Parts: sequence; C-alpha cells; structure tokens
Amino acid sequence: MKLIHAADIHLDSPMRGLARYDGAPVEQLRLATRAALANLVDLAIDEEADALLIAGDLFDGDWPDFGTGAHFAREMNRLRDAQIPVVTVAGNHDAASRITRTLRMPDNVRTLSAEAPDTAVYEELGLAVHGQSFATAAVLDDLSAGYPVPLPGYVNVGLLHTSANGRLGHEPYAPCRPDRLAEHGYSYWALGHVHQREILVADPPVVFAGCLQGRHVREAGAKGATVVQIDDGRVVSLEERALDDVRWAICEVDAGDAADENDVFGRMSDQLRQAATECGDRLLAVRVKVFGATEAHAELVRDVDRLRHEAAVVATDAACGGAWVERVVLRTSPPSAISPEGDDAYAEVVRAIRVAANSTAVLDQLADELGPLAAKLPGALLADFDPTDPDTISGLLSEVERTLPVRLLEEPA
Amino acid sequence: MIRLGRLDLTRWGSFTDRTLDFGEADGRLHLVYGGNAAGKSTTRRATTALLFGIPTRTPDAHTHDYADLRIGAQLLTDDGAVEVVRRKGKVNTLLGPDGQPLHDDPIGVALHALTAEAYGGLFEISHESLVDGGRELLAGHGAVGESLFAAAAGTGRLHRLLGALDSDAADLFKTGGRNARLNVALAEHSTATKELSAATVRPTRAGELRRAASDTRRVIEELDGTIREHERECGRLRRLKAVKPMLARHSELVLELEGLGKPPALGSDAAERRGAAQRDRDDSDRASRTAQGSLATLRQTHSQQADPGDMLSHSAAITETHSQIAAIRKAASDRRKREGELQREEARLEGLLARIGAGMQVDELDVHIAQERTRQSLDRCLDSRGEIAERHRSARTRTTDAERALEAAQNELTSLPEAVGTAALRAAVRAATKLGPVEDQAAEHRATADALRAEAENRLARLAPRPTPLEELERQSIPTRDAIDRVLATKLELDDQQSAIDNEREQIDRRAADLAGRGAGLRARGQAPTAQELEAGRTQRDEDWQTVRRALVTPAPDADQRAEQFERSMAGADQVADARAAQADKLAQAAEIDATNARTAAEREALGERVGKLERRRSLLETEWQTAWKPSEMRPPAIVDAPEWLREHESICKLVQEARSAAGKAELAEQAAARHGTALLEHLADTNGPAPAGSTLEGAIALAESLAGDFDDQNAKRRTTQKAVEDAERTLARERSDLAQAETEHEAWREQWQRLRATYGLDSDVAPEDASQMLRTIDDALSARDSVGALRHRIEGIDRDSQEFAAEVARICRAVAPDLSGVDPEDAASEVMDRLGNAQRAREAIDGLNAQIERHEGDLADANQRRERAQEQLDAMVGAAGATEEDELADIERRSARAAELRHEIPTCEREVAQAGEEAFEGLFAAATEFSGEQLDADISEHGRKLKALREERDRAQEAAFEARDQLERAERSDCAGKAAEKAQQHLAGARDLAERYAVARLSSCLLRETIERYRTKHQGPMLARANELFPSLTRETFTELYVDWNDAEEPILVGRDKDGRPLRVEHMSDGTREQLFLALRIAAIERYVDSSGGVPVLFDDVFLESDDPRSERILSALADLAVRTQVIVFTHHRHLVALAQQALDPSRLALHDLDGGPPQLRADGQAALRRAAA
Repeated sequence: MKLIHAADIHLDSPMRGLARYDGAPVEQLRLATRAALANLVDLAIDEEADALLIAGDLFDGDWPDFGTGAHFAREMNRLRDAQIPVVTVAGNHDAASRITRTLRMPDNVRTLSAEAPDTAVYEELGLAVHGQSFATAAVLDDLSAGYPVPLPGYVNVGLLHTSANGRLGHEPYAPCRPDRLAEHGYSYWALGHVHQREILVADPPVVFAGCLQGRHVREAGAKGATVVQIDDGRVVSLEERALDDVRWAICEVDAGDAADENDVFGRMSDQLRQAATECGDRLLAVRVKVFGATEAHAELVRDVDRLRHEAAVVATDAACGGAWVERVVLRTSPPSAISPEGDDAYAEVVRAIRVAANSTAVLDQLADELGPLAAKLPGALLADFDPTDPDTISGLLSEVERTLPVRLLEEPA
Repeated sequence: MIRLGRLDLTRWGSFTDRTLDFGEADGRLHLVYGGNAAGKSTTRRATTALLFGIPTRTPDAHTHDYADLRIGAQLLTDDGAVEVVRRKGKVNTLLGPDGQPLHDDPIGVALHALTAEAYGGLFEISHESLVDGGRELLAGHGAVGESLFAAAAGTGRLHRLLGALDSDAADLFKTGGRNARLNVALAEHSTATKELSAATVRPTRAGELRRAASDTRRVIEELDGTIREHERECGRLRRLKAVKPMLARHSELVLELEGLGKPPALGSDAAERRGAAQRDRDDSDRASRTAQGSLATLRQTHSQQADPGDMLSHSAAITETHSQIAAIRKAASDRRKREGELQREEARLEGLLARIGAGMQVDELDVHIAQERTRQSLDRCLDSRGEIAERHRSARTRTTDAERALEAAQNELTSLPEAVGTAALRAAVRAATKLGPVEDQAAEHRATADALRAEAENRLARLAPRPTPLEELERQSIPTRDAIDRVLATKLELDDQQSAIDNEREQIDRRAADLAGRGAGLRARGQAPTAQELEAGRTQRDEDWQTVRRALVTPAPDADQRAEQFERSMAGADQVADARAAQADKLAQAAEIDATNARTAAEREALGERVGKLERRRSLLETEWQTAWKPSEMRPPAIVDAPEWLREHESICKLVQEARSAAGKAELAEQAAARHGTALLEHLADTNGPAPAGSTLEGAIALAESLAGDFDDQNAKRRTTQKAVEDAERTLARERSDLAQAETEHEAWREQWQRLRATYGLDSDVAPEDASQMLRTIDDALSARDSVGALRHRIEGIDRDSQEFAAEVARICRAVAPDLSGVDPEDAASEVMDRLGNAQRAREAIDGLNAQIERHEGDLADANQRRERAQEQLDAMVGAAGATEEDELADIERRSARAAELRHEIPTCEREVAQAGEEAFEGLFAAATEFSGEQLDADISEHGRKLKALREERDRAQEAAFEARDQLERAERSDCAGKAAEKAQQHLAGARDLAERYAVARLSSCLLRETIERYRTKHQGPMLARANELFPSLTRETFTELYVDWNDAEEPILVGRDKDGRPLRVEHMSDGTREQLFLALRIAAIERYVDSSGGVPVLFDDVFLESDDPRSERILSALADLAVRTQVIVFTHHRHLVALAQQALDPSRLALHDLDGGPPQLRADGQAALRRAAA
C-alpha cells in the first residue's frame, strides 16, 4: 500500500518578504502554492498512490477568496478521476477559514469530523484513517487521546494536526506526546502544523510532513510530501519528495579576513551558485547574509546597494529557474571594533549608541523620533516591524553601531 | 602611554634594515626629512602597521613578499621598554625578541581600545586633513559642537555625514510627503491592497451568485411556460387562418358532387375495361384473318417434301459404330507399344527370379504372397530395427554423459566451503548504516565543540578585565544586567551632573574674571570729589550769582566779567556734581560687583557642596559597583564598559554552552558508533571473518558489508552447485531408465526378428540388412509378374474389340446399305454415317412444317374465342350502365368517375384541413365560421406582441443567469486574488526595507547629534581654553582671542577677535586662518586625549605645505610643546623647514632624522632581536 502524506498547503498564501527591484524575476514568481499542490496531485497519480492524506491547514485562516477553495476542489477532482481517495483533517487555519465552511469537496475527499474522533474506512484498500478536525482555531486539548483503538485486519493510520510536544514558532495547539502516539498501535502517524519536516518517532513512524511550499525565508529548504510504503501492516519505507515551486534559501557568506569588496563578492558568488545548484530548476528566493570581521567592512557599509546588485546578478546568472534576492543582510564588522572605552570622539559615538540601547528613557526618546514613521506604516508591516518597539530600536541601533563610526571615519567626499 | 624608542624598517616598502632611532628619554619634536620618494609615507604607514598590524593588502609589499614583511621597534610604555617585531598574518603577528609570538600584547594594552582607523583619524594629521577641517568649520558655520567634535575626530566629513544622513532620511520618507521612496512604496501597497480587495470573491458573494443563477433559472422556466401557452394559441389562430381557403375549397367540392346527380358506380376502371374489350374484339378479328392465310401456305409446302425411309430406325447403331472408329484406330497403335513393354517386363522378371534363386519359377512367387501377414510383420520388424538400435545407442551415450556431469558437479560441490548465515550481520550493518556518517558527525560535532571552545577561550582572553577561567565562567557570580544598567544609568547621570557643574564653574569663573576686570576699571578711573569740594563749588556759584544779580539790578561796568565768572562757577559746580553723580554710579557698580562677587562666592560654595555630594555619590556608586562584583572575585570592568563586557560574557557563556552541546552530541555519536562498531565486530567474529584494519565504525561497516557480500556470493554459488548436483542426479536416473527400456526393446526386436525370419523361410544366417534386400527383390519380382500379366491382358482386349467392330459394321450395311458389303469396315462405317445425316435433315423439315400448321390452327381457334368473350363483356357493360347502346357508355362512365373522385377528394380535403389545423375538421369548420379573417389577424397580432415582450423578458433573464454563472465560474477559475496578494506582499516587503533604512538613517542622525552635543558639553571649556592659547600664536597674533558667541538661532558658534578687536566669524576668516583654527582645535583635542588616556605617537605629514616661514615657525613651536606631552613625529620634504626648526627650537627640543642619508646602523640589541625574529 502506498500513501502520500502532506500537510500545511496554505493554498494561495503569498510569498512574503520579496521586494521588487530592477531585474527581479517577477514573471517567474507564479502562485507557488498552487503549483506545489499541482505537483502533489501529479505525484499521487504518477505513483499510483492508494490514498492521499492531508494533515490540516489547506488554506490560510484569514484568506477569504472563493477561487482558492474552488481551485483546491478542481485539483481533488483530478484525484477522483484517478480513483484516489483523499482524507483530511481541518487544522487551526481551516477552522478559522471562511472558505472551508462553504467549500463543496468532490466525493473522493473525506474530511474527518471535528466533533469527535472519526474514522474513514476503505474496505477495498484495507485502510482505516483515524483523525479529528479542529472545531475552532485554538484547540489546546490532546485530540489524539480520544483516537480509537486500531481496527483489526486494517492498516491503521492516524491523521493529526498538532504541535506535538511544542515547536518553536508554532502555536501550541492540540499538544501530544510522540511516544504515546507510537504506542497507540497504528502503523503510521501523519502529522501537520509544524512546517519543518521531522520524523518524531522512527518505528512506527510519527512524521511531520512539513509544509508543501515555503512562503518566507524562515521556511527555507526543500518542502514537499512524504511517500509512505506499507507492507504487511508495517511501514517499510518513507521517501521525502520535494514538490515546492519556489525554493527558499539562506546563503551565508563568511567574509572573515576578506581583503576587499571583490573578495567578498567572490565568496558570495560561490555560495549563491551552490544554493542555485541545490535548488534545481525552481525559482530561488534567497537571503544573503554576509558576516565576519573583514577589512572590506567599510567598503561594504558604504555601498550596500552594490552588494545587493552583485547578489542579484550572480543569483540570476546561476539559477536555472530564476532567482530573487529577498534581502542582503550585512553583518560584517571591521577587523578591530571601536570600543566605547576610549576617551576619543569615536568611542563617544559607540558609547552613545550602547547607552541608548540600554536606556529605557533614550529608547522612548528614539521611539518618539520614529513615531511619525510608525504612524504611516500599515498594520501588516507594523506586525513585523514596529519602529517604536524597544526591541526593534535595539536591533536598529546594532546596525547604527556597525555603520555610523565607519561612515564618520570614511564618508566619501 | 606608548612611544617609539626605535623603528626598524627591516623589510618594509623599499626599505631593508633601515632604522629610525627616536631615543629612549624624549620630549623632543622629531622632524623626519626626506625628499620625494624617500619613504616618508612608507615610514608613516610602517608606524601604523607596527601598532595595529599589517593590512591584508598594502602598497608596501613591492620589494619584499608579504610573508617576509617585518617591522621592528623598541616600544616605551608605562611598563618599560620592550622589543617587538611585527609580521604579516592573521594571528600571533607580534613577535618578541626571541621570535616567538607575544602572549601579552603591550601595544594593545597601551593603546587601550584604539583601532587602526580611529588612530588614523585621531593621530595622523596631514595638510589635506587640515584643509578638510577648515572646510568643515566653514560648512558648519563655526558651530561649537560640530567644530569641537570634528577636530576631536580628526575628520573633515562630519558636516557632510550629517547632511548625508538627513538627506538619506528625507529621500526615504517624509511625514506629509508623497514622492519620498517609502511614501511611494506605501501608496503602491495601498493600491495593491485595494486591488486585492477588488479581486477577492468572498464565499458570501459566491453564494449570492449561486442564488442569483438559481433564481433567474426559475424565472426563465416560468416565462418559458407562458411563452409556450401564447405560442400554442397564436399557432392555433395562424393555423385557423391557414385552413380557411381549404374550407372554401371543401364547400365547392360538396356542391359539385351534388351537381352530378346519382350516376351508377361503375368503378374507376370502367372506361378502361370498356376500351380493353373493344380492343380485344378488334385484335381477334385481325388474328383470325392472319392464321387462315398462313395455313394455306404451309399446307402447300408440306405436300412437296420427300420421305427419309428406314435409315432413321438404325441411327443409334450407325452413330455408335461411327463413334468407335477413332478408338479402333488408337487401340491398334497402342497394341504395338504394349507389345514392346511386355517384352521388357518379361526380361526383368526373369532377371529378378534368377536373383531370388537359381531355377526359381514364376509360380513359386505365390508362396510369398501367401505369407502376406508374416511379410508385413517382417517389414515392420526390419523397419523398426534402425530406430530401436539408435535409441539404444543414444541412451547409452546419454547415460555416460549424465554420469560424468554428476561426478563433476559432486566434485565442485565438495570443493566449495560450507554455507554461512549473514542475516544477523546484515541486520547489524543496516542498524549501523541507519545512523548515517555518525563518525563524521561526531568529528564534526567535536570540531565544532573545539572551535567554539577555542573561540570562547580566545574571546575570553580578549575580555578585559578577565573573568574566571572558562570552566568556571558559567558559575561565576556576576551582577545582573539590570543591576549593571542601573549603575550605568546612575554613572551617566553623575557624569552629566559633573559636566553641568564644570560648565557652571566655568561660567562662574568667567563671570568672576569679568567682574574683576570691571572692578579694576572702576578703580583705574581715579578718586571722586569730596563733599567739601562740592560745597565749596556751590558756595562759589552762589557768590558769583549774587554778584551777577547785583550787576543786573545795578549795572556795573564789569558785568561781562562777572557773568563769565558765574558761568565758570556754574560749570565748575556742575562738574563737581557730575563727578559726584558718576562716582555714585561707580559706587553702585562697585556695590553690584561686590554683591555679584558675593553671589559668585556663594554659588562657588554651593557648587563645592554639589561637587562634594557628587563625589560622595560617586564614591557610593563605586562602592556599590565593587560590592556587586565582589562575588565574582574579579576586578570589575569600567561601568560604561560593563554592558558590553556583560554582553561579551554572555556571548562567551553561550559559546561554552554550544561547545558543551556539540561535545555532548559528539559523545552521543561516538557512543552510538562504538556500540554499533562492537556489535559489528561480534557478528564478524561469529562469521570467523577477518578483523577490521582500523577501529572506525565506517571501516567495520565496509568490512562487514564486504564480508556479507562475499558470504552471500559464496552461499549463492553453493546453492547453485547443490542444485546442479541434484539436477545431474535426476538426469542420470532418467537416462538409466531410458537405457534399460532401450535394451529391453532391442532384445524384444531381436527375438521377433529371429522368429519372423524362420517363419518367412529366410536362412537362419541371413543378416537383417540382407533380408531386407531379399524382400525388396521378391517384391520387385511380384511387381514385374503383375506387369507382364496386365500387358498380355491389354493386348488380348484390343484384338477382341477390333473383331467386334468389323462384325457390327457388316450387320448395319446388310440392313441399310447392302451396296457397301466388302468395303473396309472403317470406310463403310463412315459412309453409312453420312447417309444417316441426310435422312435426319429430311425428317426434321417435315416435322417443322407439321408443327407450324398445328400452331396456326390453334391461333385461329383462340382468336375466335377471344372475340366472343370481348363481345360478351361489352354487352354486360351496357347493361350495368343502364344504357341501351354501347355508344352511351362513355358519358355515363365520365360522370361516374367524377363522382367517385369527389367522394374521395372531399374526405381528403377534410383530413388536410384537420392536419393543417392540427385539430378535428368539425372544430375547425365551426371555429372558421366563428372567426372572421380580420378577427384572426387582430388576435394573432396581439399574441405576437405579447410573445415578443415575453421573449425579451426571458432573454434578459437568461443574460442575468449567464452573467451570474459566468461570474461564478470566473470566481472559481480565478487566481487574481492570489496574484494581487503576491503583489501587495512585494510592495510591503519593499516598504519594510525602506522603513528600516529610514529608521537607521534617522537614528544615526539623532545619535550623532546627541553625541556631538554631549561632547561639546563635556569638553567645550578646556578645549576652547587651550585653543584660545594656540590660535593667536598660530596666526601670529592676527587674532587675539577665540571665544563663543551666539548666532541668530541662539546656537553657540566660534568667533575670533582680530588684533583690532573686531569679532570675525569663521565664514569671514581666510582659508588659511580656518585651517590654523582647526589645527589649534586638533592639538587641543589631542592634548585632552593624552591627558586622560596617555600618550601615543602623533604623526604630522607636511602640515606646513602652505604656511610661510613665520607661521611654520609658530606651528613648529606648538608641536614642540605637544611633544613634551606625547611623542610627535613630523614628516617633511622641505629642507628649509629643517633649518627653520633648528632656528626656532632649542636643540634640546628637536631631533632630526634624514631619510635621504645613508642607512644608519642598527643597534646591537635591535640587530639581535631582528635576527631572532627573522629566524
């Protein structure tokens, strides 16, 4: 028996953090989540899978477009034509979604109940899929505790949207203990909610499939689904399949001891080419992070735009499917940093920055300075970057400390 | 403090082993002279490289390779003299005299936290930097804060940087702007958000569309029903209108039928039948006449024909005999051939009989025919002999081959080793492999741990003051961040208070000095007139007035003199009074000065108290600070550095934790590797396999996999061989069975052969091959005998047929042609046959005439009969029509046919009406009677109008339904919302980037301005005081004073006072003056630094470029004064400056160095140090 396990599709959720710039591959950036879903359906058909299991979060909770649900239903129709059943549970996003409430799924799609643990039985396959959907967006109970005992004579699979025993960056919904899942007697546990693929228990496998398509730089790396091969009631193989249409990557460039800007560009080029190779023919969305103590620090600080331009040119040149440089984060430092200890003007500057970063009063004062900016920023941006937030200002002050003394020393004529 | 006692350019730039000796005890100004390309800049860079390390890329590696670059020095610090050598590299670049890296960095300690870049800005002063500084003063309009800060930082870029930061911020964002980049991005995002909103089809909207489609569908169905009803009615009316002409036609037909009366029903074919009967009667008459004429002619011809006689009665025999002529001729020819064949067969038979046996007769062959069954058995026996013999031989051969194959397989099996089980070994390999490259991971984790620990150690070594060793770092009890922040905030507050006090004190001092000056002025203006002098003056005035008055009353000749006297007295009295008033004013001023002095004194006292309080708070703070750090058992860091120190401490602790975590992972990985390695070794031992060469898990896995593979191959080969043995055994058994069967079969044949041979009468010694030959000969003899017999019988038959033919010909000739007796039978038969032909033709002619006569007689009789029948029919028709004469029949028949047509046409018309009107004729007839044509037209028109309206309404409903369905379908197929969301996110990301850049620019600007102001507050007094001393000197007293004034914006600015006492703002100074002002401020800032942080070498590079000799002299003097505090090295390529310096400065204050001179010899200790370092 062959099952495909996917989760966290978040259909039509846009790519975040990709600002347009001259030469950005705008045309190549399609609706990546739709392409990834099409890849998933193709995989199920090509592999002649017996069933597709989706462990929740088909849509973004706050996404209201009807066309998204209709598109999902169309893709499921392709599976119906191929006689492949689909079993899903609603995740926290689905519970909050307005699409979910009005969507009419094809008859090959079975969404398990939210009121009590539910079981989808496929006699002809000898498959029993147990699960329970989220009734509300925030479920804090251990849903798995009520899952039924295994049906004798069937391959029993658990479908669960859960934070397991807690994962950084994910809401602690439907917590559970992986070891208890493993002891439940099912052949396989298909989990969703955590966007990074992870095998929590090896035997029987308790697996987070990860999201189908990364949507921002914190979801870097290959994303896709897991092909589960089950023989005689035991999982004999788990195969990870990359299905993402846009590959997010973080390219870390160690500029330590680089003699000059060109040396740094060379290292960046090497790293970007490697990232492009790993990405294959997808669109590469890459964050370039340059760090290390280097004599090129001043040059880099003075002309960040050039660094950005170089990164875009190299990435585009190297990537088969196009490349979009999400951001160039410059975290270099001079070979020896100016200390606040001295009694000179430069030390005074550094001291003032550090005092500001550690003084609530000064931070408040600086927050007032940036208040007009905050007042103009839309809520969607403020949620991520509030220039009046003390922590944000502290972060900005780090940038000021890296750049201001250098510019004071070497501001070009 | 740090100074260069000696600088060794061992391998640097174009220098090799060049030394500049600055001397141990100093205080002199070092003037280094060198012409163009003599190496001044090289030497200056060497100083920086010595102090801060050789840069990764330097222009001074053109003569010596990077790896060979060496700069040596004797450094003089607070801890004494130390010999060092700087080499190029990443770590351990500072070597001691023994050539070994110095663990304690004396330069780092002496330079505190200075970086190369900061040193360059602060302590390397060139002519260009002074020019830039002058421009900076001009750009800042002499603003005190910016001027002081720029001078302190040694930068001519401060104002430009502030401008750039403000410009960057303004380009990025304006609160009420629209064109700044962030404003544009936010507007674009807003537009994209609106597009997204417009492109989004919400589920409620989709529901509405579905409902709309359903509602319109229902409306359409209702409209369709109404339309159908109207169409039906309209159609009925149209049909009614259409059948109206047909109904009129129907009425005409009915009237015509009635007009025909009641003619007899003769049938529709009455006229046709009548015509036919009349034609039959006429035809019969014509046929009767023709038959009578033909009969007469035929009968005449018949009477003229001859009789053929008796010939025809023998026609069969004659024809038969004639047909045998060819056969008789052919048989005669065949007989001759058969005779020859008979002779050849008889000879062959004779030969065969001779081969069977001497004297063998033909009749004896019958014996063999009698033993036919035996013969057949014998034939089968001999036929099967070869096959049985072959089977026997083949079975023997195969059996031998099978025996050999079995033996070979058994030998091979015996030679193979016994089978070894590999399942356990394979399972162990799988388990070990599943771990992945665990040893690499362990090594990687271990390397990470080591690297992290090394980094922690390294950073810990650089952390000053240094905390406990790394192992105890996390346990070290140090103050919390909150406590440090609190103390730091208090310290900064105290510093601010101190600065404020200093400023106040300065102002008080200035005020006191001012008051003192004013007091001195007052005192300098002399004594005031006394009261007696005033009184005397007044008395004299009164007396003079009385004299004048008297003169007025009593004119006197000296009135003029008296008036003049009075005027003088008045003036004198006024003067005295004025002097008194002035004195009173002075006294008031003096009193005010005294009061102010008293207030100043009080303020001084209050200031002193505040200073005291401040000191106590400082002391308490220091005590608190020390106490807070006591548990840590280490020297606390400076308070201002503590946050950074703590951050670094935490960072190092984190590194330690990460190192421990990595080490833990490495240990876990190593344990796993060891566990699986042991398991593998045990399984390898169980298989008696070789031990792995190394101790790595990877090696064990490789060996185990290799061995398992070998064992699997070996086991597979043994299984294959075993199967081959079993197959060979089965084959051998089968072949042996076949052999036994073949032998049995062969024996049975042999017995049968012997039996049949005896039975058939063959000799007992005849071989089967000979017997076969004999039997074939007998068969051939029997065949030859049969051939001879058959040929003889054939010849006899031919003879007999010839005789019979001749007899039959003779008999026929006797009967019909006696004249042919004696003629050759064959010729006679031919002649008779010719005669028979003639007789037959005569017979045929007579028979033909008879037949024709008979036929014509029949025709005549038929014609007569037909005429009678036709006449009878006509008579019957006349009767049936009720006519008296045959001629009346035509009219009666016409009327009868028309009536019949009308009777048929009228119902047909009624059917057509019903069909066209789509209802019963009667109903239509009645409705047509009811509606007039005009009424129908009006009703049809009314229905058409209603139908048109209904159809338009339905079309509109259909369009609405289509639109709803189309919208729904487009919504279902749409990806517009997703694309709009992508676009909005892209604008949002762009806005975020710009917002961040704006925030950094804005914060940079704010903090830089705050730093400038803080610096001004802290250093303004002393720096300006020192600059005020230097500036008049550097300008050769063209300016007498430098002071602070306020511009229109109430901002403090620097103002110079020229020798004429006129204030001049920096905008009004010459370029050179501004540069000298900047130099004065630079020197003041350097002295401030030296006073607080200790001396460092200060490098001046051709700062005299545009100064005349007198001014250069003043500059040299100022630098010589600075040299007393810290080491000053001046580079110049002007030879006359050397003389000027010698002239201006006492020799004890000047040291000259000539780069153009011959290379000075290294001192002995320096040589030794260099040799060791080079080694």
